[in-house]
Amino acid sequence: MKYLKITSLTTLLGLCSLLMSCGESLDLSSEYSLTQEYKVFGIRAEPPVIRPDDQVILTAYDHHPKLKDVTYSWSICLYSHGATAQFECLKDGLLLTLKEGNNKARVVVDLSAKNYDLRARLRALGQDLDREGKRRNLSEGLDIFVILRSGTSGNLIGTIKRIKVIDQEGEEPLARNPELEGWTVAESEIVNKLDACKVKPLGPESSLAYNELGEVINGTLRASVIDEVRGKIISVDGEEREDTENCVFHNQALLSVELEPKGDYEESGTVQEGYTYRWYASLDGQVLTPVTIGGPSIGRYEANIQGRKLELFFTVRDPNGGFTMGRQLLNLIPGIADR
Amino acid sequence: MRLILTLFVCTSFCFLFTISELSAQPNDPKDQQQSTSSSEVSTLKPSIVARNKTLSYPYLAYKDLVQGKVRLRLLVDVEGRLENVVVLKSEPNGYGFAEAAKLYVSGFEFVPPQVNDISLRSNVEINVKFTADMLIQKLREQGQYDRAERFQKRLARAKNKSYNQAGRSMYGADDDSTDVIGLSIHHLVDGPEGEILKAREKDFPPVEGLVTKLEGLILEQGTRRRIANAIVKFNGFDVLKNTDIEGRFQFSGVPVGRLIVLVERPGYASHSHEIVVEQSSSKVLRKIFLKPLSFTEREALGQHIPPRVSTKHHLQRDEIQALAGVDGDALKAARDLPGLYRAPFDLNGPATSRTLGARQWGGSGELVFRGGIEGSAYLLKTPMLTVSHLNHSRSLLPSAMLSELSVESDYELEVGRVGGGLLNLKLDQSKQGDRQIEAELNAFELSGLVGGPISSKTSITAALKLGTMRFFQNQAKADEWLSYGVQVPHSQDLNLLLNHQDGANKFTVLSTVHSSAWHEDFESPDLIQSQLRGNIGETQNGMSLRAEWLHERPEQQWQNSLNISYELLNTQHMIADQHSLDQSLTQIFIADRFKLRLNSPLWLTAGIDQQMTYSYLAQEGASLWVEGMGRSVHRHEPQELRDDSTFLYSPSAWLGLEGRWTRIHFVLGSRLTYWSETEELLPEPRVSLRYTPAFGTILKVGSGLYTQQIRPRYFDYYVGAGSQQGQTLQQAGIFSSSAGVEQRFTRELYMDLTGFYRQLNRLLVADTDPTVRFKSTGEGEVYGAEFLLRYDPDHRFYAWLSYSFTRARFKDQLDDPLRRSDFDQTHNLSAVAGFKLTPTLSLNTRWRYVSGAPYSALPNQSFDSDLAQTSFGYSEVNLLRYSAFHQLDLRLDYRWLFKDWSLLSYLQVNNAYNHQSSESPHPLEGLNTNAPSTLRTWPFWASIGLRANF
Repeated sequence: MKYLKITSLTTLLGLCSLLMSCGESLDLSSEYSLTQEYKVFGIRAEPPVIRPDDQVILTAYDHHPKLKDVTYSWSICLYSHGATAQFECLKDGLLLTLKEGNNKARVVVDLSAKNYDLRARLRALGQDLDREGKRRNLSEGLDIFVILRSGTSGNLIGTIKRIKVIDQEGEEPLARNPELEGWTVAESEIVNKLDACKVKPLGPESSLAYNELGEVINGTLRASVIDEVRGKIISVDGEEREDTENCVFHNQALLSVELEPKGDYEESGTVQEGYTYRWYASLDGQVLTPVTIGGPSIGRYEANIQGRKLELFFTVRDPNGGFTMGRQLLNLIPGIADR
Repeated sequence: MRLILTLFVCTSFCFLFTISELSAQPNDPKDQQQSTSSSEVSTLKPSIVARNKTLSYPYLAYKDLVQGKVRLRLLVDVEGRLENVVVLKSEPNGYGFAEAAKLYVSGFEFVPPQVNDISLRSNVEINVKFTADMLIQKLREQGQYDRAERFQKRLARAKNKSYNQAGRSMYGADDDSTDVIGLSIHHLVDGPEGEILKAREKDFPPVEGLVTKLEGLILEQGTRRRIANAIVKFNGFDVLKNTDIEGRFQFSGVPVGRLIVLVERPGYASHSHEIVVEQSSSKVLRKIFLKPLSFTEREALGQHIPPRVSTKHHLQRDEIQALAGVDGDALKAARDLPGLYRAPFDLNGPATSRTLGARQWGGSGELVFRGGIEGSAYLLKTPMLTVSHLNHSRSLLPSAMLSELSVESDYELEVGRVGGGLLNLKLDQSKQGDRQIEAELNAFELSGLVGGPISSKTSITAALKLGTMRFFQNQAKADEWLSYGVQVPHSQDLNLLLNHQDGANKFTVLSTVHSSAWHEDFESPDLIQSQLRGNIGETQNGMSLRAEWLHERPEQQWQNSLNISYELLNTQHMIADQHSLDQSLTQIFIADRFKLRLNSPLWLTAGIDQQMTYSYLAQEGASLWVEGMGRSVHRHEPQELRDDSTFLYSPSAWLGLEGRWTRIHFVLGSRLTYWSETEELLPEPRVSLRYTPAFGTILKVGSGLYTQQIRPRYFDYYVGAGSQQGQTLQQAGIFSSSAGVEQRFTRELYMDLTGFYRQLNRLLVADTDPTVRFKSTGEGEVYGAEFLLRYDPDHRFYAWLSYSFTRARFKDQLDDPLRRSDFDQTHNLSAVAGFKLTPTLSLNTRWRYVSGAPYSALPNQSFDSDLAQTSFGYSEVNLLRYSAFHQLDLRLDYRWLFKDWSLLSYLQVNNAYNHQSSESPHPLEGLNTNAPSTLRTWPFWASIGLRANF
């Protein structure tokens, strides 16, 4: 028993002194947020596949509550090993800082001999080996990397876009970007889980309005809103309960898309032909990404958005590097619920 | 926060301490009244369970350097108190030996014998020795070193003389408890002879009438373990027999009729009952069951401490099974010993992805020793591939199949290809002659074990483990556990063990078949890493066959063992439809170890071994293993199906010299290994020295070179450096040094304090150039200290405090500054305690505190517009640290003892005060710049379990 006491007390003292002495890692909050104030959805190159002498239009599709505060810095790297090398340019001389249209979301770049002489530069690179030991071949096509650093001061984000360059005769574009045709608004739906509540549908002032930069695709986006009536969630003794005497709306935006050509959608969000789709939503200027569930044809964003601005974003990527995005502002005026 | 935690821990321990104190008091007045009514002195003996006073050497005897011996009879009342002491013999007289002995025994605690659960008044005779060892220690304590030295030499001369005349075991005197290096803990405690030595046997005298032969077997109640050294007597007869190592006894000339048999054994309640002896020509084996008194129902651990060590750095099976929070899993229990890194929860597995920016290679991060580099698990002296379960290594073997595990950061010459440390698992072969049936069900697994002899020389054991947690998880619809990183596979493990012993040859064969699988359909709206959406999962299956042939010739003083293992492990990772990775690993290991005694103190050890590994990797889609580059799933280029295979081999030989003197034990030798993959021939010289300046004290120092083998996947063309580039890689080298002291205070209480320093060279690090990918330019240093204070189980309490302080600093290249390594775990503390509240009810507790893992801020994001995913660039690597992990686990055991089987039920409470620390970045929810989404430890949860032993 004597040693029991000694051991216990020693342990006790040891633990207490240790706890008092080691403070290096005792407390550290690691809160995180799914929301982003500044979000780049993607870069669109027009056309997505170019010839060495082409002119290409680069457009950043991004979002920020104060877009005018965002700065842009464009450059092109002629040879990078991509993601595995953190998109670092293989040599310093291969990084071209674009002269024209810098600090703009959209720049028009002339890559011909009079400006950047892309053809000559890439031919010189043709002797370099890629990771697989093959020589880079301009006639078969090779990737150059558009690098955009954009954002507000202190929060700059790098965005990478590959552009395939092929030395091929002809005038026709080598590839086209996908296009969005437009949005349609489905009728709103009401789900009333509380018999005690009387509800009216979405307020008549609600609207689905276009805003800027909505490109057109070969398909139709649909957005419908569900007004779901639930009891108010209250806290009782630390536990959350639903107060069925207190009716509140819980809005959902149900998003869907019909595309041409039609394809079978896989759960991973990729159409078999190689198209990839993403839904995003922004509430009060904060981007929440992404909101897609159950495949690309249906998106669901669920939140209590009464009286708040909900903006929806839909991006399309095709297998040739084509990109487009549609965005839609939903001004949702809640219905009325009373008992 | 710190203050609250401190108060909580203090309060918890005070509470537990109070419980232990209260539980020590008799609490059943009815029992007391019943037992007090008996005033007769039983012929049964009480058990001595504690000695609370040290034996003082009488002054006159000390002055004249006289040794002595006293025989006492102790009368113990029904409550276990010492009622009277009678000096039967004291020699030599006039030195105060009798008084000192009486004072010593006044501190004894007893458990009185019981018959039909009624305590009896009893007595016991003991010898108290005043030995030369005690004299030497006292002389040293008084500062009389010269006198002690002279006395010691005189004794040594006398001892050598008698020693050379005596027969020796395989390892000479080291197996003898009188060896000083072997600590002489029995001398230190100087307990009664009856506890250690066999009693003098007496058979029945010739009697008139019918007589017969009687054979019996003494077994432990509930577990059916055989009990050696139990004393069997018959009431009314002056006869006595000791049970042999198999628990058997035999009397001849037993009179036919009714007799009362008495059985005594320290650690067990004395037993008596009436038997009817009949004249019979057939052989009848009487089975008698003894009820255990000790905490873990086994012999006191102090008697099992191997020679040349003072402290115990291993966990025995009973301790593994009783430990709170580990569910009886050996590999989980190992983390409560000093030296082993606590791996945080991490879905991704590779340590580099856990820490967001650490760039050195570290393996899986699951068996990292001393904060430096990964080690390996060994079973039957062969390397063992481990599988991950709940993001930690888990044992494929049920703990019932093991005898013990040990954590060895400095290990012997015969182990190679391991740089970090060794987790050594030993199979339970102690009771291969016995039938054993065990079944267990808890929240994690359903396991069963059946074993027993199939002939006089051969026994087999079969064990099956089925993972049940996924079943319970589904039943409870506990999908939210995903957020804690709980990916629990369906798993099935089947083990078959065969033992065969024929004279000097001993064969052991173990076969294991394993399979596990999990998958989840991730469709969370919170999923930022959209490329991970869909079906994500992992399947593993494999088998192993390992065998040992041990040939021992004690009379010729040599020993040889041949160990062979074959292992196959297939793993398939699948992340949605975009990524898949298949790996197949086949490994063959052959080792022959030889040990020969050259002359009196010197042994020669030598051996050769060969390891061959074939690895096949196939991946489609993104590179899942761009290890060392942070969160690899964020950095990939789309790829078609690619595969490559690698074959590696590494023959090795070693030669060593081992000296075993009375106070000094040293090992000096070197390994030499050829590595085919790097075309290197590397020596690994090692030396260790242990010195015993006084009883119970050992000073130790060791140093050596160790080599950590690069995993085969780093030579894969697509995942690793490729076969061409691989030739520029080098095996990692570790120069390791340590020094420490082991001190035993009593039979139960001891401590170990060891400081260590490691210099790491040629570490594999990732290179940003994808044409290179990996290179061997990393360096590092690790230093720290390990502390173990341990109180071995007595009849109602056990505890240990394990603490490691580590600083690990690595760098990728020579010119880089040192930074925290992935495994820089500054504090790692485990406080474990168990209390026997009643004979059948026990409480086990464990509290851990571990510094959070380092990680890096991610200020430089790159969004890949074509793949719609984000990759990150790092700021200063591992500058930040997650919050510390601390957790209290409780386990309440209640055992029902039946005649020949027992049922144990237990309630486990994990994370009792519900502290959830951040563990690692969440691979499914993405990252923010400086504040990553994290996996957190499990919250409070409780489960129950049952274990039956037949």
